[in-house]
Amino acid sequence: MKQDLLQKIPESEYKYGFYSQLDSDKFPKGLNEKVIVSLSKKRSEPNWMMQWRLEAFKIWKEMKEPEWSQIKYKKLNYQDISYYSAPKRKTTVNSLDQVDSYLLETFNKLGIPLEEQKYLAGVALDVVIDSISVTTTFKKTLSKKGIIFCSINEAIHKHPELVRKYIGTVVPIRDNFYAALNSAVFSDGSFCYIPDGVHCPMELSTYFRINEGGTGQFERTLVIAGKGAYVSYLEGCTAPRRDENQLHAAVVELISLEDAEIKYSTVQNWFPGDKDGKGGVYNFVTKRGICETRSKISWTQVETGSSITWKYPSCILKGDYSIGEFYSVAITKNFQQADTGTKMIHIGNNTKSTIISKGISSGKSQNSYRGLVKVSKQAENARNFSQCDSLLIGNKCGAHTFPNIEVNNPSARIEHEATTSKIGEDQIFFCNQRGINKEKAIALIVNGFSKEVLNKLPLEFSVEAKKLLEISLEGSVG
Amino acid sequence: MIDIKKKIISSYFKKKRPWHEYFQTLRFSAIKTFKKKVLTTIDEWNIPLLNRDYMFSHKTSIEWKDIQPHLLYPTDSSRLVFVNGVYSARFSQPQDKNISVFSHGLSPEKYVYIIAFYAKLSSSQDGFNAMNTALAQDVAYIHIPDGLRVEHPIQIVYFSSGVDSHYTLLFPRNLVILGKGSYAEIIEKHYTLGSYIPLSNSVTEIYTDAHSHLEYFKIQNDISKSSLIDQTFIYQKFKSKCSISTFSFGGKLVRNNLHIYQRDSKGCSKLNGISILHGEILVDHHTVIEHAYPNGKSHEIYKGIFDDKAKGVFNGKIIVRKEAKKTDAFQRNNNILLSRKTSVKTKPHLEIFADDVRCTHGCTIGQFNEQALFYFRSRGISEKEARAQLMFAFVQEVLEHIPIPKLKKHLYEIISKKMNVYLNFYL
Repeated sequence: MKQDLLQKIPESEYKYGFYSQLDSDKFPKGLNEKVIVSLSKKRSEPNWMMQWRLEAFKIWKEMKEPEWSQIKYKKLNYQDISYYSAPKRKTTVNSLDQVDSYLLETFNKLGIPLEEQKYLAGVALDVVIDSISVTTTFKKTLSKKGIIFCSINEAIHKHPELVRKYIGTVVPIRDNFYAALNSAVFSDGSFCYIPDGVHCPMELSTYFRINEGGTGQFERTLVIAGKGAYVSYLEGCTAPRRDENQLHAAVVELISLEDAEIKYSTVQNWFPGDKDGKGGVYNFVTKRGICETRSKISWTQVETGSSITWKYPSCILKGDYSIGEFYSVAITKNFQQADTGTKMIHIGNNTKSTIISKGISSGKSQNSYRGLVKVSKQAENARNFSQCDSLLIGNKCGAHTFPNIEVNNPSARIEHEATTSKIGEDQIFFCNQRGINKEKAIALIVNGFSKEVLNKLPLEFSVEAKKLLEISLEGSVG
Repeated sequence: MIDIKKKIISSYFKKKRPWHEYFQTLRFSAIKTFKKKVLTTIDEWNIPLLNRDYMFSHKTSIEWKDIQPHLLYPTDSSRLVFVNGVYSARFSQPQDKNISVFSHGLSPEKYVYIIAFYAKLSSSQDGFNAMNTALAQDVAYIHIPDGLRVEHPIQIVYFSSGVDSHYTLLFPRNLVILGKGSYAEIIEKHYTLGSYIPLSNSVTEIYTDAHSHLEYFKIQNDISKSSLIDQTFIYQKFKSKCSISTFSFGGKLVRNNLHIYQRDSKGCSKLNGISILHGEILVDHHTVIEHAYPNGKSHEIYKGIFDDKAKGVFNGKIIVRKEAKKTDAFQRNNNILLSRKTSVKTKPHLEIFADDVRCTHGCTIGQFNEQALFYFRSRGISEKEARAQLMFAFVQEVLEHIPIPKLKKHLYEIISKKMNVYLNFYL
């Protein structure tokens, strides 16, 4: 029985592995100044933006690929990637009717609520395929409230003062190798600005998809919540099934001004590679937010895809009474590797942070939590609670925990706890007794295990995430 | 930094070498490793210590009255005393033929047994380690035969003395082998007499055979100028039990590297640590426990109280290999910060490659409970005493398991003295 089920693990297919035959406008492979200039020109960007990119490229050339992590992968050849690919468009689209019918079909396959569904779901959506934002819905409703939600390219044109003021302030160009690369070549992404005192009436959502082969995706997201504003932002991603490893190096910057709150949720489901570990997306992402006085940033992530996930959504708690939260579920199977966690940097007084991380590994996968809680000298009464739990399914996988805690102020209270175990035989037996088969029992236990995090997701995402967990775990009973 | 390295290497070649051929080759390869490795290692550890112009220890006269107050059992029990890295037959009291000292020059026939163990565990890749292997002079060698139960604790005491403000390098070295089913208690201490500036680079190798039980205590309560780099490697066989307790109360820099390799099933390792620090001191605990066989157990508790400018580091790693089914590993690190200038870094790491295991770790950093303090104060107990009692309560979890009453009392005394209170009871 056990053997059968173990063999079934790879059989739970990646359901978003299709490829859409879209005409695309793609740059030849390779990266140099020329490519960046023509990329910038293609997007008809102002000069300051182009200079910024070129500076980033200069810095990136001097940087070395980081090697400190636990993950093992074949190094990428950065000259063998096309840095720009976009579905071909004739004119700017104003309504969905004008959108390429293949594109719409793609959306339907993905099950994205776009036209009618969007009203039902009540979600404003920005879709980024390959490198380009293709459509943004609900713009009017949002603009009535003064909310700007558009692609970053549009924002560079229409709101250059905002972009210029905030871009690169949370994740500077020099921050790391992939952030520098992204700064040089990012082609699109989402931009969101909530004015002071506005409570965003709906969930804002971005959907990312890599469609073309031989490309990388480098999107840049910038979310700014003005004083006392509130926004909940969702992000989802998929990619077609391919034998090559595609690079996804995004940068997300969140700025939460006084009394503001940003809730950022991710359901990451890039193609994880096949059962032999072939192909899959390298997800090397830099995400960070900065909190001003009494503001709050909450990261929630469900990581099921990508052959390698390497990301640490972080909070800089700069203002007094600011709050940072991190809730994460990472599921790995086959040959997937996940190295994820968070950094909470306490700088202001009376700051609080909570970290809940759940890792589930099966197959031959490796799942690591790596985190940092740092309390600086001037941060009075900092409070942190961290909990990292790992669940192991099968005996070929690994679960690791690397918490780092640095405290420089005696008034801090830091708690950290972690456990690693396998699913209890008695728990499964208990379910079996009540007529629940083994597979369902596992799904039940895993769902319970990650409930704390799933509950933090916005409702419609929570449902999707639960389903995703079940699909991911299909047949992974050990 | 390069100069001191050269000095160390040239001193190696200047030394007379009446050693046995085996040790000759061993030392030579160690000095070669040192030449290659040490600088990177120093960078990794972030130790600016070797930026000084170090000397090598020389003979000074020490009297019995100087060392006697530092001995726990001045009369009974076995004792090995080293003065400036050299074995002192005058002060030592081996009492037992199983406890002895060997210098590298002794006849090989007698030490065939040693060759099988000596320098086998300590990783030659590390610079400090290689430095010790190349330059250590006399080695404390304790071999407990199968089935022997040693009644009294064995003491290994390293004294050093020197002229004012001289930086001196010392190389203490221990080799402990426990035979099948044996039991021993060992207390290791380092003391500086006078007011000079020593850096001890110590290496200890411990082998515990099947069913043996070792209780090892390291007491680090040296003067505030001295530094200690202590590396301990433990190799555990079937069902052996090994408990290592580290008590750090003084010094300038104390670095403890503890590596435990469980090399058979049902091994049990216990690691305890108390650091109560005041003044400009850095205590750095790095522990690695490697479970490679089934049914192993490990239990690790480190407690730290930091005052003034004291800094603490705890880096605990538990590795559970694929074959190590049913491993039960526990790790905890609790810290209390008392002053604004202190800082603590803690990294409780778990690396798990087996599925049927139970591993937990936890760590906390905080202050004294104000309500508890108030409770004491409202009952007429002075604040100083209340704080002292809370501190005792905090470290009690570690102290209560010490099986040697005299040592327990000694530690209580050290702690009371550090806190400048007199408590007429032992918790």
